[in-house]
Amino acid sequence: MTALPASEIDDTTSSVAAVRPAPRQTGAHAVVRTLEALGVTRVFGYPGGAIMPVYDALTGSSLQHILVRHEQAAAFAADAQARLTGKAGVCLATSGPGATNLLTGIANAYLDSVPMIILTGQVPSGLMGTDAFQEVDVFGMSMPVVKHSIIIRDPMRIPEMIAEAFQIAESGRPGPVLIDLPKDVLQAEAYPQIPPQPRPEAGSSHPSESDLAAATTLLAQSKRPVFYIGGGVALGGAVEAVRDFMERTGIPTVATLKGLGCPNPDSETFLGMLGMHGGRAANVAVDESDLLICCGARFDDRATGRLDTFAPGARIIHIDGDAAEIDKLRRAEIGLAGDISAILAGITNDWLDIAEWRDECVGRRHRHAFRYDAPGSGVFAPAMLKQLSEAAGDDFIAACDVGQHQMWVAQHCRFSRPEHHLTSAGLGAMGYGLPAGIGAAMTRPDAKVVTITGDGSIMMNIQELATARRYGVPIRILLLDNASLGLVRQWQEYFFEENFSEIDLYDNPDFAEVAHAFGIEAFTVHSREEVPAAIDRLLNARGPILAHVLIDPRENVWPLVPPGASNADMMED
Amino acid sequence: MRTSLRIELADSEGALMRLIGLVERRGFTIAAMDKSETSGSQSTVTLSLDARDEARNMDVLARQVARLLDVRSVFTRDPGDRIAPEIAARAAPSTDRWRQACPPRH
Repeated sequence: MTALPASEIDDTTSSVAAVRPAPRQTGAHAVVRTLEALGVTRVFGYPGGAIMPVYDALTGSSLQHILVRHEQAAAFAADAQARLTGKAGVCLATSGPGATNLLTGIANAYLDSVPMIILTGQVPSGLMGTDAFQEVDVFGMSMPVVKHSIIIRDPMRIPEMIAEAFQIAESGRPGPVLIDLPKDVLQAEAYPQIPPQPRPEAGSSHPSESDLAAATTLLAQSKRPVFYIGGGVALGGAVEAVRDFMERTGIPTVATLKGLGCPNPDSETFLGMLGMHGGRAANVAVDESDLLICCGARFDDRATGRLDTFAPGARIIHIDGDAAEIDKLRRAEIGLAGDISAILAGITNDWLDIAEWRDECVGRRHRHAFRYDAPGSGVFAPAMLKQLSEAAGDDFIAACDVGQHQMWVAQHCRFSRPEHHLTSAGLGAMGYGLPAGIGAAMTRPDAKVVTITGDGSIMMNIQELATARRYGVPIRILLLDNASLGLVRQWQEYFFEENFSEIDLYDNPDFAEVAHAFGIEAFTVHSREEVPAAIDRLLNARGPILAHVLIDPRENVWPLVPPGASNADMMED
Repeated sequence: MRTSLRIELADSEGALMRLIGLVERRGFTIAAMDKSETSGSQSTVTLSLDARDEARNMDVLARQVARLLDVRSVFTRDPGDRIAPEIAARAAPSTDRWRQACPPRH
């Protein structure tokens, strides 16, 4: 215990400052007051035994607490808020099952490098390690999926340690930081200084002039360069630098799932997504390239296909904010770790002569453009998604779930910014879409936030319809229902000899009726001719709304690179 | 091939577990390990490591270890400069045999 905080000294009634009794302050109050002091305005959470002191301290605070209906949703919603703002999202849960329910959301943030603060209650210090009620070692369990984690054992260090956690989460390559809070620490009387002194930020490193000159030389020697960009571009605040580099050099460009939205979507030289469900123009360009400028990407297996056949004739310049990504999977001739914008600005292209190659790539993009003239009168999901994103315009924000619809969104939607494409890229977590959409719509109520989900994914977190209803969240839910686990079915069709195992969801509930039961406006779309009106109704809704869209269960995602194959060997419809 | 890492580690809760977990997850087995007594606020950990397959790269592992917030410095040993792991674990590493893999964190 220390002296009373200055705010408790009453100097209004007398020329001599008089100390009046202050309300008892605890570690839990320090947690809440520190979050307020750090500029946090919203936390997503669910109460329970060990975290109850924090919930007690929340009463009367300026923090808006969003009560989700499952802790996993708290993590996903905080994740979406963080992706949109660049600031750490905050989620909160109790010990034991509350903490373990967060783990999928923590892993999701880790694999996509999303800044997040996870506050977990813990059993009292004296009971830790005794298998107490609702005790799990979340500090240990979460280690492989956090950037860092701490247990706060001294209530006087709460402000300092929480502030440090935010700095860690948001600096360098962002990521989730878990803070475990034993109940006795939360209940202890404590008056620490709030806010603590901020620590100086570490500066980012810069490659040498000779490395940049070597990259320039490699580029000048290239006849068929490809610019391969990933999520690290947005993390490094280098979207404008990438767009400038594309315009300045005219180099044909491909993007990973997380790189979508970095290139200007209307750029003539942007060839689309590469990889397993990438377009022919993108995959062929990479396959034929003699120089791959990998920028903020990590040679992920979904992007590369069979790694030893990926860009077989290409030399590699690898640019990344994280030095640990260089050479991890593909040896780079030149590895440039540091500030991406500065590096791109340092690579000159005075001797670049690639007009013929550029025209060849652009021509291939036009020849292999996606077609939307599917036969029949049923809803063709790719066409509907394209129309939806075009109607929504630059304010379109998609919160995707995982499955065929996730790939259709990546292929057919237009994104003006990378943070507008909220997708569980690294983890591929079904159930992300609805809570992420809620987090996004609360963060950007002015935007056209649409959760795009499937009949499999929505059921993973459908309880969050209650959260959307409770807070009147302006979220539009587009539910593409093919009465099956479509992507698994597609793989079983082509790679498991049509042995369809446990993918039939014929007995789905009527999702519009389910939404109605939660008090949410909903309607069903049966045919193609209903699509324009459905899009109009969705985009003009003011509160939560769900469109239940029936699609053909036999519809597949094309192209597709078979597992273990080279990207050049893609299958097409 | 057996190689070695020397890590200067902050004395913070979970630091050793975090280090060992990362090394194992990234595809290396720990053949021998030595941890010095904590001095001041840090200790030195020496690991003799075997890669689980040929694709594993010690320089990449060193950079991944260096990302851990508890790690102050990472040193690698030239693979050709191999010594018996039991000796490596006990001997105080001489600076001329170790090269710093990443800039130190202060």
